[in-house]
Amino acid sequence: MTALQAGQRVPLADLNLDPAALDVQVHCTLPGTDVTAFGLQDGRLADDRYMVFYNQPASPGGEVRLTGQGERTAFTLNLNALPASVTEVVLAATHDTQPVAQAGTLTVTVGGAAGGGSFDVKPHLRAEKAVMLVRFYRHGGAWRLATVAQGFDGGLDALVRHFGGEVAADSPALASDPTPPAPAAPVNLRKERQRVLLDKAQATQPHLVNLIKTANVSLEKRGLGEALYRVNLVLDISGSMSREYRSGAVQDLAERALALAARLDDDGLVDVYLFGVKAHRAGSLSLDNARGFVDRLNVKLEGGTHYSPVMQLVREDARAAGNTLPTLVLFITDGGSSNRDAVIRQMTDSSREPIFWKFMGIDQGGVNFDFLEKLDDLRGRAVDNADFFSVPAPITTPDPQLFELLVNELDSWQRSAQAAGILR
Amino acid sequence: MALSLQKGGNISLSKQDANLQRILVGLGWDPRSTDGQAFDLDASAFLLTAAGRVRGDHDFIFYNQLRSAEGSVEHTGDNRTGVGDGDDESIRVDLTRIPADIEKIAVAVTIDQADARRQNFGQVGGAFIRILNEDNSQELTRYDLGEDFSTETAVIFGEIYRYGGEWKFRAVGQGFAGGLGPMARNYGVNV
Repeated sequence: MTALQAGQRVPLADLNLDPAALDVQVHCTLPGTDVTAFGLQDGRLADDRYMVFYNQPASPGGEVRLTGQGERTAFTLNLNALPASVTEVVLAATHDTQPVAQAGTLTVTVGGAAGGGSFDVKPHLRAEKAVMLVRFYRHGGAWRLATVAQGFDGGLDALVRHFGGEVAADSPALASDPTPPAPAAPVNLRKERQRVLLDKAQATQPHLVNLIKTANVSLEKRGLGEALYRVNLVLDISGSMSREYRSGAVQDLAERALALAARLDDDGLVDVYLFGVKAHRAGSLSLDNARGFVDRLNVKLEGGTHYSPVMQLVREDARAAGNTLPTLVLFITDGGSSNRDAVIRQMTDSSREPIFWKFMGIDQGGVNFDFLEKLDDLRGRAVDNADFFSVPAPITTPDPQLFELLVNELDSWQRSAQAAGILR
Repeated sequence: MALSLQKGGNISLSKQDANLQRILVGLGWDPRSTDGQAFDLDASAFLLTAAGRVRGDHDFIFYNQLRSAEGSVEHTGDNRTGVGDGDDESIRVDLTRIPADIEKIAVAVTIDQADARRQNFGQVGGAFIRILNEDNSQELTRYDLGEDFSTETAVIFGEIYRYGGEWKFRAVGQGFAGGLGPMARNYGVNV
């Protein structure tokens, strides 16, 4: 196995590779990364049918086939069988919200019966959300491999523009293309991703499938079936929460947040935050790591409840993500906050940002949620950007009712935020 | 019709144009189309004796020394991004004024800050060198380097050299490890 550097151009024969039987594997550890093989004509996406990804797992003649998904996306290529109009095949990794370089590992392995090469892409990346990894191209009657490791901060859209195409628009085949034109069905990536997330849940976390469907009903009822949000889960780690962590109630809530994200977020990711006295980022929850997620957090409970620092963190991250999508914050707590003036400032200031705060109080008995009630009705905000509800502990609320509570007012906020120009 | 050369090929410039006196060496490449730091390519020329060495540092023409001592070779300046049609950088050579002890002018292109920016010629598209008759802007020959290099950060694109009583051009396309500094030292420049 030869280690390949960026910028190399190598005849496949030099790597002892047979262009008619190539196995390509992309190992990427960032959840939510999509790997696509683009069959191009002179650098342009001339025929959508040669774009092979989860929604179209094979090219018309099976020349390019998707044979594995997940952390290791695999393709089988028979380059010799491709029509002459396909002059190159580019493999690309894209992520909707995060730079692909955030993957701990991003490597491409090209192998065959003998020989092969591997290419470590990660060191070459900066802030690209769409990265061309390698390309196979015709040169002088033979196929060559080029290692690219370049891309676009703007993600898939920018990449498709680079290939001269448009997302969800017809890409008619060129007149010179000997193969018949592709059916003019635009690729609705959004719906497809939802479907893929559901399929994935079916395969790996079947108990989540009903939750996702239940979440969907609550969203559809509010006209939010097409809505796109970043979903954040903010968890109280004050000492009094101990029983909720031990009983698995927090894990259950996390799975419900994930079910919402499977509908609202293209990647089905939930960014998780913890707060007690301090605020902490706790990584991303996804279908890939949902099982036992809260246990693995190894939460160390803290002796206090301060909303403001974690609200600041959430706002900073939303801003860093460009505030292009609204953020739904599911804020789980079992008590009121210290430093209430700071919290009120956070609420008031963030009312001009595309963030909706959903406070869920876990009522351990004897706790006063007056402050959260007050936040819900706080004056001086650009729009009403928060809702509060409480449920008694232990949580026995049936899921359909819980999802209703979790998305209540999200639709009215979305309308007012749009009217106020806070949300496009 | 200008003759397009392959790597290693050569052509007699004098035979292409019997009245040839001054030439323009044009170098070009495609600007970066992806996000990230631009490709800043720098052209240099080395005036070399029969021994393949410079006579002194004044025979090394680059962005910090744009003219040779007697003025026969002149670099027209640095283009930082490759944006713009046609030649991105060019070097004027007055063949009639090349000192008699200079046998050969090597034209090289290096990538500025290649290591820091993790760039190499394999990532640069559309690189070419061409020779024009400066007096009538006729293209005499060109060499498209396309596939001829990959991970190099310094490449000798071509050489203009004396052969009998003529001037010839050779499409070299030879990579050089280490960049401009080691290349200059190899030709005997004190850097």
